[in-house]
Amino acid sequence: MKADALNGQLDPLILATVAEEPAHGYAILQRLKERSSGAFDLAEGTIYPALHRLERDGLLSSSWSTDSGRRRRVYSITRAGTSSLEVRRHEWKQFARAIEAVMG
Amino acid sequence: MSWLDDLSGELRARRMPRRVRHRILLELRDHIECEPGCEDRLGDPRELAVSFADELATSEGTLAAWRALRRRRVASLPAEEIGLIHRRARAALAAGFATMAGLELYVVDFSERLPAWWLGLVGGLAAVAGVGLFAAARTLVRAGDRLGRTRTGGRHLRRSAPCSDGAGCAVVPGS
Repeated sequence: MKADALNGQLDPLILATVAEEPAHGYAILQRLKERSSGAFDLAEGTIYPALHRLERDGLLSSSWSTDSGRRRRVYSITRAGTSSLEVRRHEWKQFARAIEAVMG
Repeated sequence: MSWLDDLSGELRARRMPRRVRHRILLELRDHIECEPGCEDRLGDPRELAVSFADELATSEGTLAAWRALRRRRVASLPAEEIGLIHRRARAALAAGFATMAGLELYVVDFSERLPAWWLGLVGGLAAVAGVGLFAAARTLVRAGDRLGRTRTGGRHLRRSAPCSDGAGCAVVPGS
């Protein structure tokens, strides 16, 4: 699946991934790949501006942690992020139902 | 030159503040260390730097507007603070012009595929926003002149002069 098919959907996908458990950028990407069975063909770097944007918008928060002597930024979902994710899930389900009804 | 060096250069070329640049590079370094050799999949450093600059410039404008509005009742402000508002507004203004140019290019590129009313609306709104940006740029230049004069003279500026200029030019790109 090409990256442009993900237009507008990357943010809720990241929120859903981080909602499971706080994670750093690489781990978020790995979870995205695993759960989609590698279906999303996006440049891996694109996740980072999205993470920064979600943090700026108050949907994610982040802090530094040290793992094996390596500093990494770990992202967690905020209360506003959880609410936003619920809204986006509902919208997606409605959209998917409508598409399925037409496409069969 | 490594992929990270390229990204660092691209971020610096876009005047990304050192603190933000440092954080981005640490995050990407961690990513590469998790899976050595994955640089190709991270994408083009230039495109990534542009994405970060777009995100940052938007927040810079908001921060500039917020700071200027919070200080609106203060009788005088340190020149350094005015300088900070000025730098943030300048970054936001640059992003605003880039966005307007992008919208106009969109109108030209899709002129044969999209309805005329939509193209007219987008082009018109971009042109109107462009006028606002030019007005903001003019105010920003004037505020910069005053700030430059003050740096050679005193340490504080009267609120009625550059602070109002800073607020004016910050609000347009900030919003």
